[in-house]
Amino acid sequence: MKFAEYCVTNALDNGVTSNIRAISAAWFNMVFNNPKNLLPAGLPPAFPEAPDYRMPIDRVFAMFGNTKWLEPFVLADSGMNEIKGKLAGLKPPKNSKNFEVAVLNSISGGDLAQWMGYLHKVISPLAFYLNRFEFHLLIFVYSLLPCLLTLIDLRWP
Amino acid sequence: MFTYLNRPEMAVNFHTVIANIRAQLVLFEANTVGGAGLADKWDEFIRAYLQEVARYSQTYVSDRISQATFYYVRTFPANAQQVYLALADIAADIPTMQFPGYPLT
Repeated sequence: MKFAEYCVTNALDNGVTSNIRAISAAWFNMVFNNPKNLLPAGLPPAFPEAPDYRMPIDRVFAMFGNTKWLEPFVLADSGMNEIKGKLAGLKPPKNSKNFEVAVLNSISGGDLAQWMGYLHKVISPLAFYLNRFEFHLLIFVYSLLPCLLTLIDLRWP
Repeated sequence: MFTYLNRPEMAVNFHTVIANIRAQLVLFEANTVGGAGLADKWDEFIRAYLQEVARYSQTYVSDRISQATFYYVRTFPANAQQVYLALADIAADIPTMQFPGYPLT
């Protein structure tokens, strides 16, 4: 778990370092995932109708959703989940040699969509409209709507 | 493009999960020995980590586009022009590959 590594070493793989005091590795070994060192009973439930989770690890993983609490879940096609998982682990979703084979195959008459569609799939998990200029323009136009409606209201007898 | 996460409500959901994990860490700080600072660590970590994932993903797609372009330039098949245009379209989306609220710095 990258967060645990970061807490203990105060550094990420990319060289980012922390100025906040490190958390002892003992906390992750002895508390985070230790059934013999439980949290007090009766803490606020992790989610509505949640069991009384006593191990921190259970509470953290519950935050991603489960069969009893679907709200945080994002249902996606399994191929996309695989790509997302690889990217989150900072690993290539597809070996570059395999990609190259697909490209060469399309040049000799094979299916272009095989690698082009794959590139779209890699972009999709992260390409939020929220980051797009058009989205911000839309928000800006919407924010002007009340003023426009007031103006129309004033001019309309 | 498949519009899986391209919806504002997904961004809200995404931030809710991050905030919920933080709330649990605050609980651990108050109820365990040695856990002080976990929530601050989380704030620091999640920003750096998501930026790193976005940066890695952008580089990955950019490298694949270069790889494909290289072979199409070299062999120049009949559909090369169409492929360049399609790749340019994909490349235009690369800067949007960021987590909402966590822009690359």
